[in-house]
Amino acid sequence: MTDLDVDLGALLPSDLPDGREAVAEGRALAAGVERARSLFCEANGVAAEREWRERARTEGFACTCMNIGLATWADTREALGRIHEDALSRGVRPPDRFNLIAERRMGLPKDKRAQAPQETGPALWSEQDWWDLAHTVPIQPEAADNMIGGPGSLDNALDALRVGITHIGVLSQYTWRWPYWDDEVSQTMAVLKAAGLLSAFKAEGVCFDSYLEDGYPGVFHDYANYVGWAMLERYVSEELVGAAYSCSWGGLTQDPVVKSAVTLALHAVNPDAVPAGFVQGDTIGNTPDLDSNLAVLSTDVLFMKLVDSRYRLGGAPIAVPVTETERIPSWDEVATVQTISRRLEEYVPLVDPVVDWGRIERLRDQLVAGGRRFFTAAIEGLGSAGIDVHDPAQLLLVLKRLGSSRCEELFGAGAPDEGFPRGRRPVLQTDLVKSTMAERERLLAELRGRGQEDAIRGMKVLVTSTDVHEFAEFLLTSALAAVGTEVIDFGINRDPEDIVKAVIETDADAVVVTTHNGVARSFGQRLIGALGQAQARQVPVFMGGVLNEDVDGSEIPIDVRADLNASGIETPGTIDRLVDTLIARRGGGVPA
Amino acid sequence: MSAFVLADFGSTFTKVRLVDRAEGRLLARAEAPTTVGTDLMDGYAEALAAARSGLDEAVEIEAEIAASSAGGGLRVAAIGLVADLTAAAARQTALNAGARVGAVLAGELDAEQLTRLDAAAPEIVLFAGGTDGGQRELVLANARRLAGHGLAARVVVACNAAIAEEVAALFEAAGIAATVAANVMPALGQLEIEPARAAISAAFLEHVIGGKGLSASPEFARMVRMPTPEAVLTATRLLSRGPGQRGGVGDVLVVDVGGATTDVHSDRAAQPATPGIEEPLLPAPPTLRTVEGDLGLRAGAPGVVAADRGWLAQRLQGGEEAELDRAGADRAKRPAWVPESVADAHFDRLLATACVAHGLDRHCGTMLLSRSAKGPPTLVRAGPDLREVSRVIGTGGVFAHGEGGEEVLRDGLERRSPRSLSPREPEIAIDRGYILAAAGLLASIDPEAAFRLLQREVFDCVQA
Repeated sequence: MTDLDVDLGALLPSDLPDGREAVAEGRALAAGVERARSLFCEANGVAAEREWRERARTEGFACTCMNIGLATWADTREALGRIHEDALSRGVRPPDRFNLIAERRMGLPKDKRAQAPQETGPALWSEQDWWDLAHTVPIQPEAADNMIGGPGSLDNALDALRVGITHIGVLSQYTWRWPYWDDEVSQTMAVLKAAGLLSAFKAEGVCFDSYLEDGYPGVFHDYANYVGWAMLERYVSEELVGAAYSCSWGGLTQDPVVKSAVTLALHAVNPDAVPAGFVQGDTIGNTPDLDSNLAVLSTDVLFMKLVDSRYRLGGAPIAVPVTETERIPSWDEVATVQTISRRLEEYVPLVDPVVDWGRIERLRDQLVAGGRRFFTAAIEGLGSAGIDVHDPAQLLLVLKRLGSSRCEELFGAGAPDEGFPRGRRPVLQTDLVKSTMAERERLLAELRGRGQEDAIRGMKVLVTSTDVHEFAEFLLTSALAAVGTEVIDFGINRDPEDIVKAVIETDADAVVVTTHNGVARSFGQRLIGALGQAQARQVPVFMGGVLNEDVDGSEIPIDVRADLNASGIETPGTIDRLVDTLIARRGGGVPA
Repeated sequence: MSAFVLADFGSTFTKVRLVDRAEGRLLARAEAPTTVGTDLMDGYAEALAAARSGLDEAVEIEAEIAASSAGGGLRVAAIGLVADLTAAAARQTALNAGARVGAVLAGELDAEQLTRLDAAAPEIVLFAGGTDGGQRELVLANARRLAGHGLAARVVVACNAAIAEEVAALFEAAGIAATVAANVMPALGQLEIEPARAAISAAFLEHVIGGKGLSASPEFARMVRMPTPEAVLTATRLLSRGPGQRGGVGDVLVVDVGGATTDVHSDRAAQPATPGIEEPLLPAPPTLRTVEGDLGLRAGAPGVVAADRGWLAQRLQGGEEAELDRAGADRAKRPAWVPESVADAHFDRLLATACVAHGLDRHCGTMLLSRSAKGPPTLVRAGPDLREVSRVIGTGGVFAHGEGGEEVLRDGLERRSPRSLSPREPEIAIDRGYILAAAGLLASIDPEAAFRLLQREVFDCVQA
């Protein structure tokens, strides 16, 4: 159990409204909502998508899902028609559902959307647009990206329900920020009102969907914590709000065995067996070589279908177009992988008998046990720190403000172990963490291979980070140690003033700072100022990472490399070039 | 029967304890005024005679050893480079050596700082600065300035190990005796207190205590083994860890409420890092002594009134409230004064409760939450986490002589601020026999006997 003797209430505004009242307010709106049936539900004779998925479980047929969001709603609508037609012409069953990947402005309240700058993706401007979303083709839409989570949550929930959409998300996107919207309190209340509204239609099959990787699990190091986070979201959605929670996930996992185990673990912590909106196909295994991505696609989809079929989950796997990491896929690229997905269903009964399901189930059980530890630690830890864990507003806002790494560090399922970046030994390390470790190996091999091991041997380099991004710091300390420098690992989340203190005591020859939190310019300038005050300005400072800064009047953070260079900070861009620069300073070589 | 004599030369009283070493049993105790004006051994002889007279049978004295805080105790100045890094490490080392730390200097030593150093009149200077293999130039520059300035004190050098010998040579060349010890902060985030603490202790015994002119008898310097506060800290650690391989009673905290200061000693098992909770730049050592110079029952009374006026006022009648300052000032003027009325004794207990509450608050860490403008907040555990300490012991006159010691300690503990990392549900014990310093002293010769003595004299009282 995590016992926090600290007042986390300080993270909440003193006048935070009671989240339960927001939920009740949303629920009360249900009386005025007149709901239509979507074309899909009409065609299949079901009240809601949930009913269809439950039939799929009982009858043993497979469902598929796709993501779609072209430049405009008109393009998207047209693509939907073509994809549907294409499937029929090829003799395969069309997709059961799609996620609308709407433009980010849709996350704002209706009256604020027009003023915000346009970004990529479709936006729904009129009642007709909304109607068409559920009545263009008999494929069930989910109101997904940017629908619930942002300040416009209630508007979107009302529109989606009216046209017959019954899976609405995305709860995990509550951790996001929307353009021109800094008011986290009103965002929280909007999400809870929308959730309250959905709860009123729980009996009719309406589900509140989430996609884990859009929230903190996307940067977690341990899959057990994915499961624990899903339990937290389910607790908020079902226990505190009363809405059916559907848990989608999957895009950042390549290993099919791991993916199968996590899918089963998420199902095991889902007592009402609410079918997942979808299982996202792998997006990290793909490369610019589109042909090779077919291997990723086939393996991934086959395993998602195997698990779904064997355990009768009623899920809907998404086959990811091989072009998706390169560009927004066109309609025919989506249609192609949908066909492949349907054909793979024929292989499921052939492959199932030879899969080692026992191994997958053992992994599932470990993840479930770990997930429960995360959940218990979070609820008890937050409770001990003065948070009312029965108030969904307090719970959501404090988790949002704690941040992903702090949540995982504090409540993580793994046993404390300082040898791991999050201070805990993961129950099952995520594929993203594994790939970072692989990148480290690649970098070390390359640096060793240069034959410059002694060029900067003994040089004292202090390495630190302005934020909680430990991987960049970890890569830097590993790489600099590999080329013989004496690394002074000053850890993450340091202030400029503390860096100067460390420089004075250690007499470091160089300072390397990695930053990812949009403070590069002000941090760099403070550091240079503090070094100057301590008469240590001669120590060279290098910065890397994301060298930008949020400034007033600019929607996107501005690049501040020129400002940093002007104040004497070097920005080599890559670790290789940093090493070259250090060698050049030592006089041992010439930068490439 | 044979007995060990364990003496404590205090600034006001000389305390003598006769102990049966084999059984770890207190045989007799007595006090006599400390005879600073004549010869310290006069007061000692008087106390020893009084102690022996209380015994039914004659005892053979096996050995006589002592702790001393007479003549101003041990005065140490701590010097480092960065105030909250090596200077803080040096200060903590000196405190753990039982010293009074009159000056803590950091950065480039200038004339103003050297004047402060002179004013503190240290007997030992603990000279730190730089991590091992780290800063050289600034540390050497400070050493040169200090050597050039001249010092009446001895120096313990515990700086960057790569230049420690060079630094010592600079002092020696200027006629200042210097000893080299391991760096008090060998790397960022690492404290190495023990070697420098031991060097200070050795210097105290070999050079300081005999030179104070407290006694004409060579016996005095031969008897003294450590400064009194170090004896209490030794007893704290012994209780917590036990002698040799044997385990102790678990984490222990001792509050010593005196006339001038409130000292808090603690010892805890090594504390693993908690994921998500950051440690400060300089971690707290497992064995820790803090001294609150503004909290005491006599010279420190005005400080207590200033620190806790509201709480004290709430507990007094209206008329008495107006008298708060006067009551504090009166006590400060008369260090040896003993309460004469029920009301005076009550006020002393209130002052003691305030000393315990504030002493604990400052000794124990807190959990801090800082919100940054960008990104998630930081949770920092500043200072030691003593929530799991199983035993808290009260020592000092108010506990040994007065009534209601448990209540004072319990009330002080209950005033813990919500975010304090002070003990949550400790068992409480009172050092009625004033035995802690004596036991710490005995531990320097026979830790097993000292442990038995502590168990019997401190914890058996609890059970009785």
